[in-house]
Amino acid sequence: MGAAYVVEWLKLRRSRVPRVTAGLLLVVPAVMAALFLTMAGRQRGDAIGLKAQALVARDGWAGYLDALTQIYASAGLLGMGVVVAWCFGREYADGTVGSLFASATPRESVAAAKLTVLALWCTGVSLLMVPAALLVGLGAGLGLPDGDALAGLMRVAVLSVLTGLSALTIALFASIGRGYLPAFGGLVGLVAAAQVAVIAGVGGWFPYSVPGLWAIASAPPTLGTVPVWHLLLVPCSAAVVGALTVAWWRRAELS
Amino acid sequence: MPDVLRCEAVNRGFGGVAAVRDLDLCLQAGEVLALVGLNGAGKTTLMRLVLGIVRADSGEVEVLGAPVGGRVDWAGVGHMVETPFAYPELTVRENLSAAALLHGVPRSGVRSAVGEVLARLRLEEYVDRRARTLSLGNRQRVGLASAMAHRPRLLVLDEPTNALDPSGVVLLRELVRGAAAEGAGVLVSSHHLDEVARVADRITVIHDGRIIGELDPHGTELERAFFAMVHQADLATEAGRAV
Repeated sequence: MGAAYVVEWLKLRRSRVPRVTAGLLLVVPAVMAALFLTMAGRQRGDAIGLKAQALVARDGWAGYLDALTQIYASAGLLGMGVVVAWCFGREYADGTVGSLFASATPRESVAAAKLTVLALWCTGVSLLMVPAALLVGLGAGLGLPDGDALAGLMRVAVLSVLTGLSALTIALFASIGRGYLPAFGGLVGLVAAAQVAVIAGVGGWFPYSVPGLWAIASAPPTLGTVPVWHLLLVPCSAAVVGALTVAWWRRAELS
Repeated sequence: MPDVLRCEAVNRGFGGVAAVRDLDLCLQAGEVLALVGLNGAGKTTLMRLVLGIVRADSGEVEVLGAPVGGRVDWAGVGHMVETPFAYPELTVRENLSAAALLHGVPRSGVRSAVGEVLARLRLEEYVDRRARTLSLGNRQRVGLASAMAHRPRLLVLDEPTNALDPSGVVLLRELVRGAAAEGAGVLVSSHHLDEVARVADRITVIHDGRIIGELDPHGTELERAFFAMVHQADLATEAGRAV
């Protein structure tokens, strides 16, 4: 493994931001989904219950996973985007990017290493999503999951991996904008753009809304269905954005 | 002695304002060259040009015999410009290991390189402390150690005495002279004329982006000579504008 990979992996492991974000991503959406399911099942007719019923149309594991998928489609992009923004933006905000110039390890290698370890981190979090969501579901009293529920859990994990790949776009915002703030602005913009694309009926072609639309099994018919091959838009766009980010790190000066 | 750094007719501006103008400079192996100048004179911009952090609008910068932007052997260069290489979440040892790795030290040699530079910078007692818990001065020492762990042939230090206590300043002086004695060329900037007089072989005065002369490190009244030189340069500029 190259020097840049060793160093970036070390920085990722030692920092609180990825650890805290991973913990939040593994727990908060699942707990929220379980709460929505509980509220939807009360049938009291109050405002919160009605909103919960709009989100959770089914009972048991199916309803829980519907809610989890819908919550994670946005929360996952936000959470993973925060870690990507931190990983790239901190070099500019802390001023350490200057130390990465005039080095035996080219800056483009550092950028590529950052993108790679972030993709690995996202994949790791996504794999842990399965047991975390399972435990929360069991804790919520849903009983043992059947085959459909297990398939739904896997679907959430795939959603999470694809969301992580989408979040790599934030690296380009952080690099061009040289810090956290443009990255966070870009992140909010991406989440909003994904919603707009869905509402406009082109969500199935927009890489940042495709994973969520595909994963939401109970999507309203007005949103249409997303063919599986549309998911290829996500790694393709991640590859393009990754290449642009690496090229930016190779060429950009720090004036 | 071969040149480890050569600048020829270098120009660089920012937003239409010239920061470095028609600048020539060379530094030989084993030599310590100090850049002195007022704030905004162009010292840091020159160092950033040398390190490829910014590119020259015109002119040539050569490092270790190769043009910056070409095939420079960056493993032979160490630097600390503005912010020290000290990631707050890493311990001192981890920071130095990371710097050594990135600067091309083979993994098998990292431990000994780090051990050696820890001793040289007297950082042993902080080795397992995270950088975020260190004082500003000790973070500066970590940055200096990161710049020197791989024993570079060209060392570029921008205001290295910032935040150092008097013992740190003396230590830095020994390290810079030691690096030069081992054959490295050292380019160092400072506001402290007395300090650079103790460490430099040559003192170059930079003002308004130009090199306006040299001071004798062994001379007396350095400060008076420096301000006289700057004043003359300003008068010449004003006279040029009047014409």
